[in-house]
Amino acid sequence: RKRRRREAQRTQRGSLYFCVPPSCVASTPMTDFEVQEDKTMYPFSTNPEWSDITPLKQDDGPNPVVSILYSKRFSESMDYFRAILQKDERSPRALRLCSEIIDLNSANYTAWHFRRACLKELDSNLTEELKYVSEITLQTPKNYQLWFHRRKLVEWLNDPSLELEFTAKVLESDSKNYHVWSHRSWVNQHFNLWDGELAFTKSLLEQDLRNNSAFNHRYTVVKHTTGFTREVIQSESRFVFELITKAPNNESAWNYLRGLFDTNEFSQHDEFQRFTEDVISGTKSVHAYSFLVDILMRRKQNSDLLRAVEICKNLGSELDEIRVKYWKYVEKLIRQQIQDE
Amino acid sequence: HIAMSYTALSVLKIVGDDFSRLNRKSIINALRSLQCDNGSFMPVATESENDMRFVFCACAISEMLHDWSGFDPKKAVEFIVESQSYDGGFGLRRGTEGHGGSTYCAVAALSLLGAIDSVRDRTGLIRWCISRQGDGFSGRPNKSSDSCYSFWIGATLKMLDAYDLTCPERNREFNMSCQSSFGGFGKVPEARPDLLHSYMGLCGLSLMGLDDLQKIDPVFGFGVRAAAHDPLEHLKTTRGSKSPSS
Repeated sequence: RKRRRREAQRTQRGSLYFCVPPSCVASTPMTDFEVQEDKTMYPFSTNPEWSDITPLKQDDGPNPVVSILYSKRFSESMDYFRAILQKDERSPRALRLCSEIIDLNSANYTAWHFRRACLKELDSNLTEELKYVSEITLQTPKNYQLWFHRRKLVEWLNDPSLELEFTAKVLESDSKNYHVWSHRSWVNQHFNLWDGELAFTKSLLEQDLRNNSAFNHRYTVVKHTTGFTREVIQSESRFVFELITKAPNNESAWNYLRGLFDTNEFSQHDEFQRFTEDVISGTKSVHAYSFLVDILMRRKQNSDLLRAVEICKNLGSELDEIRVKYWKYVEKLIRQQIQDE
Repeated sequence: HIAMSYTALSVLKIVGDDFSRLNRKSIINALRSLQCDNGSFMPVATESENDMRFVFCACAISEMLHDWSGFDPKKAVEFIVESQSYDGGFGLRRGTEGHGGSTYCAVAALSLLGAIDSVRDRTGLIRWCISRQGDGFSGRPNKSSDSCYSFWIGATLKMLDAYDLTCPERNREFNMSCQSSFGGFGKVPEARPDLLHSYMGLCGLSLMGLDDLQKIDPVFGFGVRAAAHDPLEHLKTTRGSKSPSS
């Protein structure tokens, strides 16, 4: 029964969605459980290793509001952690205590910070520490503190050799995990490791051509390596054309195409337009029409602008009704442009 | 922690505190040690990650205390502007994927800085936000709707004067379907409700204006009544302007 409860808690924490700003609070278990029955130091009060420590209770003042119903294990562990913090004791047992706290609340940034202080003080094996972080990543892959901690370790070790493989592995369970892509990007830039990155994004897109994160990463890679030269824009657009042909209404692909188009330096508008018109002749793709409007708006000839107006009308009334007000707004912008010209 | 400072000050405004017991100087001085060379902010002075979430927090804190002396606003604006993705949305920092949460933080921070015109591609930003609507709103292209984005994206559009371009009826339908049978909102229909989605889902509904809810200030993310409670109003420099540079 204990193990089943443990698994339930893991799943709950793992699936808890952490939206980005400014939340950094993880869930607190309502029941006691032991992660590793042989490794936990709880209960501390009867643990001879901790007999010298006077636990420090949380001080919420005389009139606490919205008090959290902490589990006994959570409260006691934190009481001992507060005591250790006050002492600034950077010892092996303190390091283990940090693990306990992180297990109870992986977003406790103080525990992560103190953990790093202990690692430094104890001159710990950072490669082992990297293993520890990797293990808990699989439980809480969307935790900011964990990924920053990993970054520090990689920095201190000055060794990125595991990172590309590790990030690829985590992406296998969630190919759009923002933290993972962010970390991978950091590794690329910090260590100037770009070989194989384009190919990596290609393989991710082969698995799922709607992976917006993979497109974004590809853009960043190109930007940092070759840059968007005429040749690169040509080869990249061919690449995206293929993907669009497979899924003509894939917003991520069209956004990437627009990104290439917006680099502005080379007027390959004709090729982009030809392709888009081609798509439209086969499928009534909303994003294709939307992109065509953008191309036509760049052209400035009345005939093009008037055509763009017609497309907006069609999108608003038929193809993209949910955005009818938006297409009316774009139509207004174009009419304004016609007047201005 | 900068997010805790932002939250604490917000709560004080909401409950109508007079701010007299605050050590305002120390809060503002702390911001100085939190700003990075690239204009971004860390949440704590001991080394930590830095990104758009905390840029917003720094700006909100400065506005609530009417004291912009704690950091370099030009660098902050530069950091924000550089974080706009090729697809129009804002990432957590330069080069990262456009995301609803970071987009909100970016646009709200720029609003507070009086620098919303610094956005390089306003058209693209509006297009990106409007495209986030499926039934409800998603946080990124090709991801499913999630009730909290009715606020992150909704508030962003409000700040850009483009909220009227959305379809509130469909948005409302989605949010309501995320309401659990025993109360609260989850991120998607059938999901367990949680505080964050309940808060954001309600804010999103308020923005839609279709239910009898108090109006939400899109910049701060709490009610306009609370936002108007301004015990330090006498410290405001220029009337109607939130810009430290005006």
